[in-house]
Amino acid sequence: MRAILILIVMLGSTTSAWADDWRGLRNTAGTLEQLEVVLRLPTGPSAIGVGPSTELTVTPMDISDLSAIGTRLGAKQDLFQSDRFTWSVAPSLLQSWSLGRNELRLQSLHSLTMSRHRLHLDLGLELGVLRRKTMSTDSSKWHVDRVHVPAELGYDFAWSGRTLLRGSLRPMVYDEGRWLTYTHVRAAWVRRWGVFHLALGAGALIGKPSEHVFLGTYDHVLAFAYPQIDLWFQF
Amino acid sequence: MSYDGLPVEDALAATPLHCYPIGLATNARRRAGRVRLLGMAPVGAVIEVDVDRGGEVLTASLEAEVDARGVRERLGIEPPQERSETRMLTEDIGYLKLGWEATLSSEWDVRRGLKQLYADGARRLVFDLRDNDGGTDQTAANIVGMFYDERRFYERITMYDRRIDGQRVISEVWIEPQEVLWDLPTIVLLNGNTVSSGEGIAMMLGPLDHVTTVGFEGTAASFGSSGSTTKFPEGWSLVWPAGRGLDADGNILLDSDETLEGGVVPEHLIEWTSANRIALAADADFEIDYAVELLEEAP
Repeated sequence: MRAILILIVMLGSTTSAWADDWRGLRNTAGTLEQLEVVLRLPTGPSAIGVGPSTELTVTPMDISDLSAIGTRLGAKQDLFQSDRFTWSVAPSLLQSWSLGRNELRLQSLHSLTMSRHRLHLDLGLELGVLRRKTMSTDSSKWHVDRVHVPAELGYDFAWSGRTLLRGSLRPMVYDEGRWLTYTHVRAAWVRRWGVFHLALGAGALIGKPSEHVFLGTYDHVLAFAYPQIDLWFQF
Repeated sequence: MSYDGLPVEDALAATPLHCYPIGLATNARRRAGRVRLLGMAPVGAVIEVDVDRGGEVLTASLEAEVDARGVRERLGIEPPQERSETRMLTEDIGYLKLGWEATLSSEWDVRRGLKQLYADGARRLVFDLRDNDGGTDQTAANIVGMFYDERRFYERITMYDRRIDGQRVISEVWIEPQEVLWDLPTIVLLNGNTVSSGEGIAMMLGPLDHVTTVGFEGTAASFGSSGSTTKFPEGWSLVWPAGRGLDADGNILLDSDETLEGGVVPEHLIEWTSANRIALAADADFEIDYAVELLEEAP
């Protein structure tokens, strides 16, 4: 009973409108307030504000690259903030559970806010680092084996105080030696109920990606639709 | 010497293959299939055989009995039951068997297996691909990458596209260095039931200096992408490749041609001598023991 009461209070608690506060969303500039917390599913980034313009992030199970599933730790720092424009940078490091792969990701996030409208530009650099053990010499060596440069152009519209609509285009500018080979197109509906947030959407991958699990480097244009669900608590 | 009144080769040639439950794409595989079928006859039938045992001719009458096992089990072509297995064969020879490589799990198994065997003292390896049932192309290439020290082309995949009524290139698969480089002496065991991606692994490992392929026979010559099936009444199915695996010049890899030659033929073919046949019948691990002997004899 006590748990239900707490849940009712949490869901009913007043939060600021999306148009005033875009914190906690993925892939956007800006950081959490100090000691503000976002808790996501194990495969999404959770975060805590540790300063006026700094947050730390952890993704317990990062599955963005199936060949290097692991845990990602990172930080996000606001470099510039005005009424309309925010610029943040977010370095993070993935350690695969097999201990042989790492990925260093650097993101530069830019957001322009005009009332209920918000534009994003996310520029990234991802360096896959392999630690290879050679059995005959019983030695190990590190080297960079994969380089990706993703970009994302997004648009958010605060439909109401609690509802947000998102759309984005995420082309892979550089994909392991090839330029502009594929893109993701995504749209989502985001709703908050007090501390609980839910994003439901759909995406599509269109183009010729490189992957390391099934068929390698595509020469054929692939069009692949997928659902998206993201839920998180923010308090 | 003779089977049911016919010289053995004639008896083999007269054995029909149309009910064989898997494809037999090479002359060697067709012969092996006929050898397996030769011992089958209607229940109660009596077959006279003459056998040459070291110069002595033995004559025997064989009566066909009921065998309740499934047809694949009777023919010795059951698919593998386990994805992978690792164990030590001697103090410094490790054994890794791979049943299939359809998912990332197989790749993880091989990586973990090689690390564990090395930690257990293995400095030589028997990599058993007999009866390997195939899997995903990139997974196979990633497994090969654990034996290669540089990036290397693996294959180009094409699929039939009805819009152009022809083959269209789908993707390219490359071998890339992985977290482990196993560059120690290795014997890869093959047989006729090594199929598809399993053959791809054998094809790429064979040329490596530290690897020797060993077996009684070549692989199945069935490398093209599976996937096209038409079902007929009475449970019959017609299955054929949906796509091709090509080399960098566009030539079909491994699949047999009109001469029924193809697959990976082991660099070291174990001879079908009477002694080897008898040893194989008596000892399921005969080929493994054979590989261990080869590794121990190697300089």
